[in-house]
Amino acid sequence: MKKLLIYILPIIFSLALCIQVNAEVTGNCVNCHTMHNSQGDSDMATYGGTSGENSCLTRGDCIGCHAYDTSGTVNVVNLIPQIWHNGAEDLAAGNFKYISTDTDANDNKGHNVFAIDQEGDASMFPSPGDQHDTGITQTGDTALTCAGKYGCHGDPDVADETTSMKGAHHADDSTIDGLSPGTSYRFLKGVLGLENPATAWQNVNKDDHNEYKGAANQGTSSRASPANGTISGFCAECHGFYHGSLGTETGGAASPWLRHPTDFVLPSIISKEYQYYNGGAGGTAAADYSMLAPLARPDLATITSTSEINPGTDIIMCLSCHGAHATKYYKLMRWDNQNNMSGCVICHTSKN
Amino acid sequence: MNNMKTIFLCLAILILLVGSISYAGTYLDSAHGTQNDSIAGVSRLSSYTDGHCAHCHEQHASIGGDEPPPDLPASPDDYLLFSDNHTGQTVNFCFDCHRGPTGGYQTGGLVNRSYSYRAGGWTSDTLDDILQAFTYGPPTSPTSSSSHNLDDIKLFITDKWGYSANSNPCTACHNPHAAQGDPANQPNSTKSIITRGWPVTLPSKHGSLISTDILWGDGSGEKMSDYATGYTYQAPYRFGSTTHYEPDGSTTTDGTNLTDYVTFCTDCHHYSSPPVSTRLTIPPDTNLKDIVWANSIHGGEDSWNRDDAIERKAPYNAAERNYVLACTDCHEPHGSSNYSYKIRKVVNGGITAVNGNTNADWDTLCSRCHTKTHEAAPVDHPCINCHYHGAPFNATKSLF
Repeated sequence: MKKLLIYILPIIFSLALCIQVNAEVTGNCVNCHTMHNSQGDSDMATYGGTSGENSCLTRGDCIGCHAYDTSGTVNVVNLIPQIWHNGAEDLAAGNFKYISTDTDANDNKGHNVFAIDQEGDASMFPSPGDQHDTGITQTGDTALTCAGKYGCHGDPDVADETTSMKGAHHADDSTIDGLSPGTSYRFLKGVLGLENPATAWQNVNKDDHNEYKGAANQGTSSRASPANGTISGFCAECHGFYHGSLGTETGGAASPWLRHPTDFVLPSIISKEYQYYNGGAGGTAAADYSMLAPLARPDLATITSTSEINPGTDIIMCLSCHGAHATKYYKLMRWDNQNNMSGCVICHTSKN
Repeated sequence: MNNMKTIFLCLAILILLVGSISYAGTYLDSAHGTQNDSIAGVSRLSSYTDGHCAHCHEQHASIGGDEPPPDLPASPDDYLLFSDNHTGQTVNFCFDCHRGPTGGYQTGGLVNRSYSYRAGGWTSDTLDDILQAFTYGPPTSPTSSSSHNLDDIKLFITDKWGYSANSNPCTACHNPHAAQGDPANQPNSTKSIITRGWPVTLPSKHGSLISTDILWGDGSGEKMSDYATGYTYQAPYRFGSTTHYEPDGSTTTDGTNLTDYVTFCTDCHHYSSPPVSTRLTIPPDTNLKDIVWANSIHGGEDSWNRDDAIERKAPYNAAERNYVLACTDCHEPHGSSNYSYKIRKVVNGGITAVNGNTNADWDTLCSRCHTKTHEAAPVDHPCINCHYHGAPFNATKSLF
């Protein structure tokens, strides 16, 4: 019996791992699609409480499936990650519940996707740091969406958010190459990364988290293409002035920076405080990966230890400080930045 | 054996503690960082807690979709600062807050006093902000007053000790992430033995992460008593007193409570080649005098006569000693309403009035400690004509 278990258990674990790594949807078509939005005289496109015809014959829009039960307490329903739920465990990108109550104070805790919660501050449109004329507006047909031309996921050249995701859920994403939405990290077209292999959708601890692509220079993103395939380059599609190499906006390629650098290697030189990242020993000595202020990797294929950060190699990114969807803190910060600098001092080690 | 284990364990803990202290952060100990929660620290934006980096540094030159004030010109600034880093004698990022009780961005205003007020006890001094101190003298005022020229400092430090052409000249003396109030957040108080802080960093230690380098004056070997080893440092009287002394109003006189400002100031003022002053407008004499304090009579050099105590005033006449002075005994660090050289308005407990380059004017300074004066007639020879820093030797002795 023991021998049998020895053979069977690895197979079960491998299968489970494959299911989690690969986002390619499996199962019956009817789980997600409806031909006529009608079955037995009942509407079928009702996911998330919605009712109506959707592009691509889906039974729900983005929110319908990925915020299936906003009062529910689980963050994954039927293998579908719930970006807005009422549970305690946020996904890696956060939880849109933090902006879902319509107060200005909550508006600033996340990206104000119009279908979830309208941003109340008109000065936030177009997107702050907008270098590439996103055309995103506070309300109307060009308001912020989950996907498409006015959103983050899917094909940025397609206006309709569901259509922009066409085929993405069916793509073989065993190789993330950024060439299509389906083969891009989290369907963020052009972005590279490694999706958490152990605990799907969450960043749990230093041993169990997503890996983000970074680069040693900012490059220049466009509205539809992230520079260097990095997560920061992707943010720059809408917030370009915060990231690009434009000297008058970011300072160019080195100190003095005009805005906080991203896609910049954490310095390991001994005259700088950054060498002691997260309590490290200094120089290029590896330190524990910080969940509060994580860094990106220059080469996802050669990460020596996912639980460690190497000053002089690993890279500051937008997500070093911010969540992607929404967090419980002001300005999508990973920590309560209004009241403490606990995340800042992970890198700025002499400021503790 | 157990004793050995205990000793070994204690040593190991000590080593670990020392190791961690060596590179401990200092920002939260600083005046900007709330000085251990004892004061407000930097406070510009209501949305961030006191002392937070966001009060000075705007990560994206934008908060809430807009650049908060001051936003003219509305563009990001060096080091992510909320306004221009340095463009001139009176346009400097530090002055956006250090400009008095009103008009600055620090919530509640920010009052800073002169050294004569804080250390000298001259509480009648109305100067209440750093910006005002730097408006004394050229280029913003006539030569009837004086201040450190920030552009000259900026030029001097560029490419030295880790500074660059973008460095703020105030950082030549102060580490904004470490400088402490002395005393902190008590703008109308003089220094006292229970409120001390350490505001300066040696210019040559700029950016050093070694804990003993981060501030100057706070550690062992960094006091005037240390500099004066083999000599005598005698603290001057506080204003109007013959029983209490600078800098903290205590009865301590040996410099154990005073930062070694000689080493501090001569980091620049005894550097080869010396700083250039735009106030000295006649080339090639635009270099500041090299101050070799060890060879100066007011420094390490012996007095001219070993029996000249009778020509000095208290507290320098108690015994014949080789007295060595601190720079701050006579000079303000930022600026002074006195004519040139930032001569303090109060020296050794009394008022000076060096309003011009005359014998009578300089006598108000020199006579604070010396009984002997030169005759003005028939030609008005100011003391400083012969007795200045770097003055040539007369026989074997320096004239200053």
